[in-house]
Amino acid sequence: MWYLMKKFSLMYVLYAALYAGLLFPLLNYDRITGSNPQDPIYIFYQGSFIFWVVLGSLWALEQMEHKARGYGFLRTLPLRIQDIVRAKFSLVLLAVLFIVVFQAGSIRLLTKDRDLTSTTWNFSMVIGSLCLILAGLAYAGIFRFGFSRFSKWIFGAWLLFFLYPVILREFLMPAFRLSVDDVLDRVTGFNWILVSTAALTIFWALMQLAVRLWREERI
Amino acid sequence: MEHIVRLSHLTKNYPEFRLDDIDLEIPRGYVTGLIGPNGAGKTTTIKLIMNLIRPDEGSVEVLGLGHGRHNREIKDRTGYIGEEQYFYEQRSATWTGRFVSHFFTAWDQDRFMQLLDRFGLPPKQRIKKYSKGMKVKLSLAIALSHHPELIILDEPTSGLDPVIRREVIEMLQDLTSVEGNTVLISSHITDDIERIADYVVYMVQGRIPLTASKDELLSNWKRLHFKPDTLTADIISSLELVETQMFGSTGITRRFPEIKDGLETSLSNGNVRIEPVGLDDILIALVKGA
Repeated sequence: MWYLMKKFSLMYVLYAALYAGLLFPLLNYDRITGSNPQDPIYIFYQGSFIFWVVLGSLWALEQMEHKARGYGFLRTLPLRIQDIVRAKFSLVLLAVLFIVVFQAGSIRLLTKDRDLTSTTWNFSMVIGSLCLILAGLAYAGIFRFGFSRFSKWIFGAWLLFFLYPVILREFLMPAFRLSVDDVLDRVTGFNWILVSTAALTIFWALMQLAVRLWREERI
Repeated sequence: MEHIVRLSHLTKNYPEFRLDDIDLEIPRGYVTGLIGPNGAGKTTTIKLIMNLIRPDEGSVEVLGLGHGRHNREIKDRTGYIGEEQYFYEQRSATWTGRFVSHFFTAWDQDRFMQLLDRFGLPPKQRIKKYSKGMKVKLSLAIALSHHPELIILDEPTSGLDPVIRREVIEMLQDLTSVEGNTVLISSHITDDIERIADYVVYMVQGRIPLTASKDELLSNWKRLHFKPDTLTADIISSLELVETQMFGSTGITRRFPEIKDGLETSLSNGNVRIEPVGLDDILIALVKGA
């Protein structure tokens, strides 16, 4: 399984490197230069990048597998379906863990602010948990309907997740008279341990479902 | 005789096709050819043997094992070349060899490199740039590099030009005659099967109407050219695909040893001429009789 994970990890590494090396420094310019280190709006925007790194990598990987007809090749090898599915789900989990730890760790290093770090951690964990469930659902959909069919339906929804701060700030928050702080308070008010445990349970169940759906797939 | 593959009451339903309750045994140590027209069910049968699709009814046993618990072991001990070659085409043959080596317990990297060399495949070139024939050869190199007990080839020469097709068949012939592998090869190109197969299985419309050794088939099936009113009613009734022309008639029999004695007089006075048939003639007779 480790070898499969290594094979599938290319897109995750590329997306994570692009985020950590370029997008994160750009987004956190104020924090790095110290001009406006405590502004919580950045935490809000950073959530988008969890979706971008995790779901974007997953999508790029599956697009590549689809184009290369990789599943056709893998199925001829002495591999168990559950090993392939587990490798894919494990990468999603690792990507979420990486980005949550990276975001909270970087904020801690840049601001030395415990409260801001804690808010970032809680917010990232909630978004990361949501991301796990979405990734699990995406795999279940891909194994049930095939990438090309599933991607036709879902691509628009994916974009909405990446652009959620814009949609929230421009349409939803004014409608409900909420500020960024209100949203952050509500999201971080969740118990992140409970949220992530529930998300992991659903993620695990979706992994079992993905294995079953693939087994029943008809060529 | 030991059998390496056993299919019993195997059924698979598709909206426009049904693989209909087939039973088949593939003998160990021989080359078995699966012949049939396009859409006869050859690929479906092979996919069921390889557990790439699931049967609706019946069972598949490969190397004495069932796919339920032993899918991985069966694939580890079987070399498979599909109708289409799937690879990570941005990668090279060397990378592909390294990648698959992690999954086959008996992978032999030296043999793989030797086979690439023998098949004239550039190991560092992207597979994307390989021709179809080269991809078939790469599949063959992978299939042979983990010392499989059974090699399954699904239409390996389909879509290849005659020169490359001949080359692939000759390679396969060499490899199987020297190493004595068990091979199951499907094709609608009967010439390929005639060259290498010891046993022949005919598939027509999702059924197996005929299975026999190639020698038995070629000795039982003959073409008769005969002048009008020179054969007995019994012999005439044993003929298929009878065609009448200006100077006589032609027909094919599948019971030549049985009717041989009754033909002696006609043969000696030149009223009947006997010719061997090819596997394609038998296929046509089976398709028309189906």
